[in-house]
Amino acid sequence: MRLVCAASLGVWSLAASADAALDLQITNVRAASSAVVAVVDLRDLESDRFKTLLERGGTVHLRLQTELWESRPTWDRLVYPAAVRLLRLVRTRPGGALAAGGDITLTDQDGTVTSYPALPNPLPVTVRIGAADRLRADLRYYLRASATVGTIAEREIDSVGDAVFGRPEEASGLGSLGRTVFRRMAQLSDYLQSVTAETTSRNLTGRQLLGR
Amino acid sequence: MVLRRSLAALALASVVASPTVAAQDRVQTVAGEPAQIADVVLIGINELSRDVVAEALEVHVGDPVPDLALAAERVVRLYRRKDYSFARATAAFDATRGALTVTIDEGVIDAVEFTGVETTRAAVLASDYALRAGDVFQRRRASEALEALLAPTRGAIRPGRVARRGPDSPDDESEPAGRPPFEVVTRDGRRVLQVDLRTPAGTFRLVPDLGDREDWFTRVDGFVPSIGLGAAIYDQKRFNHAYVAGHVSLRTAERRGGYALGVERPFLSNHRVYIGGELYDLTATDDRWQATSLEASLGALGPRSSLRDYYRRRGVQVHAAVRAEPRLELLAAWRGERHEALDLESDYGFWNDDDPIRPNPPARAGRLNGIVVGASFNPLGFDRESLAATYQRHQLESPFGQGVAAEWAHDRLARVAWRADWTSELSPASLGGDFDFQRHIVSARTLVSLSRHQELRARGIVGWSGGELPPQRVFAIGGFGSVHGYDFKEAIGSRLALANLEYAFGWLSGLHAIGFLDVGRVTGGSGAAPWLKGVGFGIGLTRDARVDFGYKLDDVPGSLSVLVRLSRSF
Repeated sequence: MRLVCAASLGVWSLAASADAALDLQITNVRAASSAVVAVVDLRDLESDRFKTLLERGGTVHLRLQTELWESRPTWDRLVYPAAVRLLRLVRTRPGGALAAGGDITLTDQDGTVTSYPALPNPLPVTVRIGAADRLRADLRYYLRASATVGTIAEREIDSVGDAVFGRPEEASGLGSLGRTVFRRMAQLSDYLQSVTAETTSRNLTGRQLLGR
Repeated sequence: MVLRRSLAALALASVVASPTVAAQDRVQTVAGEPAQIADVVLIGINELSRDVVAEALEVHVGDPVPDLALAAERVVRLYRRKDYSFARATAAFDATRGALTVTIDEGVIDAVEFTGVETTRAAVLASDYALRAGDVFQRRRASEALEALLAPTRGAIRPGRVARRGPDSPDDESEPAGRPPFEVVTRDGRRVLQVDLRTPAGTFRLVPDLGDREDWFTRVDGFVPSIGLGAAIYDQKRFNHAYVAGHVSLRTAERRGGYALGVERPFLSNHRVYIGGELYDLTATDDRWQATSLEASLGALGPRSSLRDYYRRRGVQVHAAVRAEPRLELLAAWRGERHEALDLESDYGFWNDDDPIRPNPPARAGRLNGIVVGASFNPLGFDRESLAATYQRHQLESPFGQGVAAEWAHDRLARVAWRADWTSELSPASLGGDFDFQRHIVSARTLVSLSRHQELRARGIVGWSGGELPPQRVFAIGGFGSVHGYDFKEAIGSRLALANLEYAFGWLSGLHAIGFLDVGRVTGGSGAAPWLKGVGFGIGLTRDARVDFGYKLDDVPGSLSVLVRLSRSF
């Protein structure tokens, strides 16, 4: 039994360390000219296992999804469809050939290429969220951001079943343990493939966003 | 689909690649030589990389002019693969300049319409939907926005299942036409996105109910397999959905069944009033606040730890709740029920078979007629609760309050999460029961995020009573879930004061450390009533799972007690 407990602790610790590999922070949300733009700082992007992957000439993908929500007394409203930025990270030599030990090259979905001798930590990523004319100065907003490094992960959405019968967090029974274990095991099986982190900004008035 | 060929030296070709493409002639010069591409011009690209589109086009400078329809279709297929379901492209060749121009409409919509619901509802949904005229349609983002839009209806309005084909429907294999619930129709030259919805009458679920209502393993009932039923009957006008809850269990040790069957429905819109009632025969406990059902069941089954005391409760309860504002609820209930002691002691356990298990204190048997009043305040609001969670909270089975972890996990917006609960149970003899007591409990809990690696948690509970408290209603603290370092329920009495403080640092969703301090006192018991003071540290492996090393403050390290927790302390 002790062996089982020790093994379990090891599994949980390993899965837990996956959580620790990535962090993000929303540093700015504002309406620049006609568009709402957010800047998200990504920290610890180059964790040990992704660093090894890059050193071996592999490719790491980053998916950053941002959603601007209107804060309401009851249910909040999504203001724009989710904005997504995709970045591809590889190590390259001058000329663009993949190479271990070369610069880290970031290529976004627009084809823009940026190279760094070493990846900045934090790495600021700018996301265009939508047209500024949808914001109202008298309303309150907040930004949610989620980043996945490794593979492009599906976004979790509350299902209709959750809204009626309850979310896993609301349950305290054996079912909740099962869900937690399943989530952890899935995380573990995904360990070498992707890590996800989420964050939410504080509430901002439309006036603050519009800079009035 | 158009192909124009000039007999002069100037040749211009244009092809629209939607919805169907047929084989095309190649553009040729008068001399019959295949024209060559001197330049490739891509117009209208905003969503994808130009390099990606150019690669999909499979055309390079110096190549002969390709089949224009095929070139345009390659671009459209690329967009469809990326979920831009209503993208269109045209390809044209200017022989004078040798320029191949591909003009792309990525699927910009000119209007949004909702069908399948009443006109007024459709208008409200259209005004709240994140996708607007001028936006590019991408199915995935549109679906996510639709989920967010319909979430407040709790399933009363759902994406439609019936596909309708419009003239702009995509018809290639990668994007089957009319894939619900989205469709684009062209009306007066405008591309209108139609979102098909449906309004089901209700929803129903029957699942194993492992600990949500009764613990699935106890030392008085043994294994308790159970089935839970939940059904919502939708109110399409005000979304005041009725909720029916059921629970059937079998107590294997006693070979006796248990059940609960109730219903609840809200009324009004701005300040909802909930009315409901329930019939039940349950193995009940007052100790939900110290340990979760999972911990209590696993503790009893594994190391034979008794983390809850039980009694049998059967009768009827009717309740009402007023949501005075989204964050505040006032509650009241009338109970007419019979209490019985549960004397049977299961001796089953995976380990510690030789250790004596703490006996289940006998409850005082009798008829309880009582009124329960209370209030709950949660700054994050109650509106996001599921119908099942609201119903269960209204049963007033957690008089010591509820944690904020669920809200915290769901709403990461908050830097400070807290809630406060109050309940008063009044069971005077004048109501005709066998009991004569009153008990009042006020509790508050908070979680404060100090930084991304630090968190402060606190809980305070005060309770007092009058009359003659039965054993199943006395206050007790010590040990698991209250004051570390002491035996479980070491102090028992009729008045309670308890404060807990925890500081966590590290990766809060992963490996982190916790320091804690507990102070509590129960008075009105038979013996002395000292303050219990516990202190210690813990190692958290996730937000929930942790190992605590607790001591009595005045006996470190002699009083070490190690606890494994599968949920937050509070």
